[in-house]
Amino acid sequence: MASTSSGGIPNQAAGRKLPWSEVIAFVAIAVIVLAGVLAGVLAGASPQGILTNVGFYASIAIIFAVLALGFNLQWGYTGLFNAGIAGFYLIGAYTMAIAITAPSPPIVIGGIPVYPGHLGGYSLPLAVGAILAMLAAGGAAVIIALPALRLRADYLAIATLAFASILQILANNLQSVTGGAIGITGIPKPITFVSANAPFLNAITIVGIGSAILLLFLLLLQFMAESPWGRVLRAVREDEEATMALGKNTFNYKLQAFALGGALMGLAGALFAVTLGYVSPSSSFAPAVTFSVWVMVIVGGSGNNRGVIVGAFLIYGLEWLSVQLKDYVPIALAAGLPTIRLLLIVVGLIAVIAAGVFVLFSRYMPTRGWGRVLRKIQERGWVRNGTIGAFALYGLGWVFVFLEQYKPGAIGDTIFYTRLMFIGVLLIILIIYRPEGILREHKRVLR
Amino acid sequence: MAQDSGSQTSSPDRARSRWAALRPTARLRRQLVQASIFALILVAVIGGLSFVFGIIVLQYAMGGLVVSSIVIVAAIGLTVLYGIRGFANFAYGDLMTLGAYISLLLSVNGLSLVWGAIVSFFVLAVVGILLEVVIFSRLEGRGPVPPIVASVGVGLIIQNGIRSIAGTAEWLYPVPASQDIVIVPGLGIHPVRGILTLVIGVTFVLSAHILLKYTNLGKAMRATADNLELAKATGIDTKRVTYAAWVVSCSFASTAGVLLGLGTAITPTMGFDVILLIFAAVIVGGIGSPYGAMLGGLLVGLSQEMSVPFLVWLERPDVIGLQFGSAYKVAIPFIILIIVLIFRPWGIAGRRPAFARRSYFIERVTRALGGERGAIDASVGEANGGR
Amino acid sequence: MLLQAENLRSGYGEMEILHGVSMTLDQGEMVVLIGPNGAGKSTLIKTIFGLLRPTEGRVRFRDTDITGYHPRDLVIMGLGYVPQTNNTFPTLSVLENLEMGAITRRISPLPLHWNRGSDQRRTQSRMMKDAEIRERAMETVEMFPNLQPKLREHAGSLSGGEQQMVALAKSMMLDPEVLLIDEPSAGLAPKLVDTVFSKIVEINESGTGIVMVEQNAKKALAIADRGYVLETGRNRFAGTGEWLLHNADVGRLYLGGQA
Ligand SMILES: Nc1ncnc2c1ncn2[C@@H]1O[C@H](COP(=O)(O)OP(=O)(O)OP(=O)(O)O)[C@@H](O)[C@H]1O
Ligand SMILES: [Mg+2]
Repeated sequence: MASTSSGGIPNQAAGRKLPWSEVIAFVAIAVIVLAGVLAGVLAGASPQGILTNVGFYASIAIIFAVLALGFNLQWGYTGLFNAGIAGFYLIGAYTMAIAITAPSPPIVIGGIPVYPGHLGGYSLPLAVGAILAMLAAGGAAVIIALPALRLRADYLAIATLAFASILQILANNLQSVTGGAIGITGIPKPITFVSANAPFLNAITIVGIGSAILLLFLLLLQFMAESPWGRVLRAVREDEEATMALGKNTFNYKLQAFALGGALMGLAGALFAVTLGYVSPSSSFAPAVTFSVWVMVIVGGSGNNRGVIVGAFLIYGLEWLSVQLKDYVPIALAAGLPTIRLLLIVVGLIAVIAAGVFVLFSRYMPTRGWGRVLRKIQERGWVRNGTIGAFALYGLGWVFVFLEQYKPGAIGDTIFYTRLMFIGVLLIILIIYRPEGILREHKRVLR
Repeated sequence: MAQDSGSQTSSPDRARSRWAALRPTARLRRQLVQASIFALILVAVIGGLSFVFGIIVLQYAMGGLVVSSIVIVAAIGLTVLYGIRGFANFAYGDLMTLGAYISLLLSVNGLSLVWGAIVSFFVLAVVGILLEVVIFSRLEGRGPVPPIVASVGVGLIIQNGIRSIAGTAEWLYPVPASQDIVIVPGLGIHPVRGILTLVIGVTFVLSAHILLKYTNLGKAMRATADNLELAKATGIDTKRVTYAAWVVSCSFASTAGVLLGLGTAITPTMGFDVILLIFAAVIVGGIGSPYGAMLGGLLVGLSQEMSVPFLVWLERPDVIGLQFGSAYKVAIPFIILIIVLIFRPWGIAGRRPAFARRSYFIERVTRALGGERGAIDASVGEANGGR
Repeated sequence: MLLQAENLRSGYGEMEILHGVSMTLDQGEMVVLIGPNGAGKSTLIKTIFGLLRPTEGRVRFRDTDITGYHPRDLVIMGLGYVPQTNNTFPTLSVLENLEMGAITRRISPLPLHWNRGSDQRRTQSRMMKDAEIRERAMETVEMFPNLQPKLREHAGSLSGGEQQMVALAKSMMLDPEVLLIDEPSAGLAPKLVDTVFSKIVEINESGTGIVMVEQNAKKALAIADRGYVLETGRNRFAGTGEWLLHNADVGRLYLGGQA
């Protein structure tokens, strides 16, 4: 088998060592959630609201994890680079919405059409809707793959990006099917609660169902990856010519992997429709979704199913946190601007002095005791990287302060957009320095 | 031998027979004929349509030409970089946006737009070199995907950096308002948005042609795009050629961005919104080929604009009653793109790879049905200038 | 000694292909490398020409240690290389291909010193203006009369034999002291092989030292001064062309039985 040359899936049994990077990732996720909760508390939200919010985080993170699994199957295992994740996601969400909602006729008030209505009103069971969503997205994946799969990776990327953007145009304009810019509302929940706690209970249900689905597909994918089928996929990724020479119809394997990945993305869309209760051609299906999923998979290590799930929780956690902070930070900044400025100055002075002392000290570092520890720290490049990182954060702090001073209130937006900039920076840094992902002890070259 | 070549004297008729070899060849003549047939067909189609549907078609064709000239400038920039660096730059649209905003920044601060555009032309050239040095040179030899990922990262940084600094509001260049110049009733063209854009577009096409065909740098660029390894082994300084490609690519992006901003409005997503149009032009023309990009840009721009009357016609209740028909005009280039990907992935102007002796489509079908192993697949990309 | 490779170890990535190969080339000599497919002949040439970096061993050109030099510097110093495949720029015309062959000695009309830099210090040869490069191209092409009418055609549209000629002509633009040629006869009809070989002999007789890889071992050995037989990345035999041609072992193993 051609795949023997490059190791298969990371061998869990071999790694007896504590997987430090994963431990750190879990701690980071916990910190993110706590920070979000804290921001909520400081902003004066009710405990119930905060819990619902955390539940919302978990359910969307699960949805992203499913997306990431789908993309991982396409790229991580088979080497098919999909730039239109948002498109398959959209198909899933709309299919689900059309399948399970009750009829919603057009609304006309005073002769003016307020709502154009949409296709559907079939009130199908949720499970049927989810299956239809998977079929629709998988079918779309087949259609887009037929012309593009044989070509180089860039063609596939461009074709899928084009596909996703056509779908957004359709969702916006094909009113009779999609409800136009307003979209489809009134998507039923899995269980209808009538208590005051309904939002929270809904979130919990979704988290429950979502985690079950996630677990199911994780196990399924792990199993398939170890099967002969999965081995052929990896062989295709490593060397398609050689695999072809072994008599495998690589095109069919690629098609299957791509379709299955697309179906998973459709499932994620279906979950999303149910979670939100409505779908609209908003930013939920913007290309930024695709790029976020890329980051999640790269962070988790492409080809590592467990890793990409952790990556999804981590990266979506950061996005979620930025939304929480978006509301809180401007308030805090406005209130404490002078204090914060003073703090920044003091911290900056201390940092500069500390760095200077360290540099001087490192020249004459003793070879024993603390000196050895310091030297080790220095040898690992932590000092340099740490200094760069600290200065970046420090600069960011000042940027915020100045922004708040000159454009009061704009800081919230800035946080929101710097979130996407952060995604961009992560993409670049990871692809250059850690293409194998940061949650992976195992080294494997990315294609 | 090289040392004395300059001093060698040759008899006049021997020299004549030597230089006779430089007269236009069959290929050149063939190309001229092809180009004029293409132009004739285009003119005939547009003329026929306008004869049937009225002068409005000409108006749309004019609009299409204007859009084309923007798309072509951008597509040349994108494809030159693709040819030499071997990856699709997804940040290209955002680089256009950056160019537009730099000119905007300068022109709202009192500089004239022309100077703003010139400054941003050079600023973006520097940005291009920085991108290569800081990011993309580290991804060399790792296939097409890592640079795509990094370029998306660059795009996100530019786009959202602009958003958080300049806000999401629409901006307009401070150019004096002027009326359309009416050529014949029903057919007008705006002096800035129309004529100036066309003129700049043509200027850029011509300068790209001169650069590629008549300068040594251009020849070296084409050689490097053809075959990087061989270029190195020939002694071409491929590093400098790469920088030159970034300079050309990014400065063209800047100008395309300014033209786009002139034509519509300046927003943080203006470039990203047209990136697929430009990709379509590049792929339709044959990825990596500047001349293909010109042809592709023309085709894509014209078809996008000229589809409007057709889509409006589709909107009529007695036809199919399509809602918001003209909103679909942006989908037209994608449809062309998909058709080209199915039937001629090497582009309409690209060279048909040697292996595709039979009809490419037939070969594809044979293989999909489990037929014998051809040589299509990944090699199509390679035949199109990739590596 | 003009060119000397000494105990080279080299390969692709982690995979070592050459396990210590040596060869030499004297002034004006023609040396042929033969061996079965995958023996590492192309790898050896690429390593000499700086396209691969040896992990061990030295390459010397005249008195200079050129191990690990960039190919560009080697071109400037007077080495030339014709790859096994893809050895022309397909979308450039034949004439432009030849012009590219002389790019390292071109004087830019602009004060940009586009392709010069430190080059002049390493070479005593004269730089050329564009017109001189043209002139030189015309002169070079006289050696290959069948290219004369095709100067303006894309190299990619020529036949395999013609492309081989273009590649040879391109590498002759600077009149290199050493020319490394990788399988010039690959994929050519037998008649064309003779034409190409006669060109190579002609080049050799004009004073250029030639290292040539060939599958057509008998024909190649017949025109070569000396030959090396490589096998699985090691030197196997070495000797004069004559000797190798009549050596029983070499004959049995590599020349197809009858010797
Ligand atoms: N680019 C490459 N990457 C990895 N391995 C390579 C590469 N090129 C060649 N090889 C391997 O190196 C070995 C020697 O190849 P090389 O091209 O030097 O052989 P050769 O003697 O020139 O053979 P041929 O007569 O077929 O040209 C082969 O086993 C081949 O698989
Ligand atoms: Mg070889």
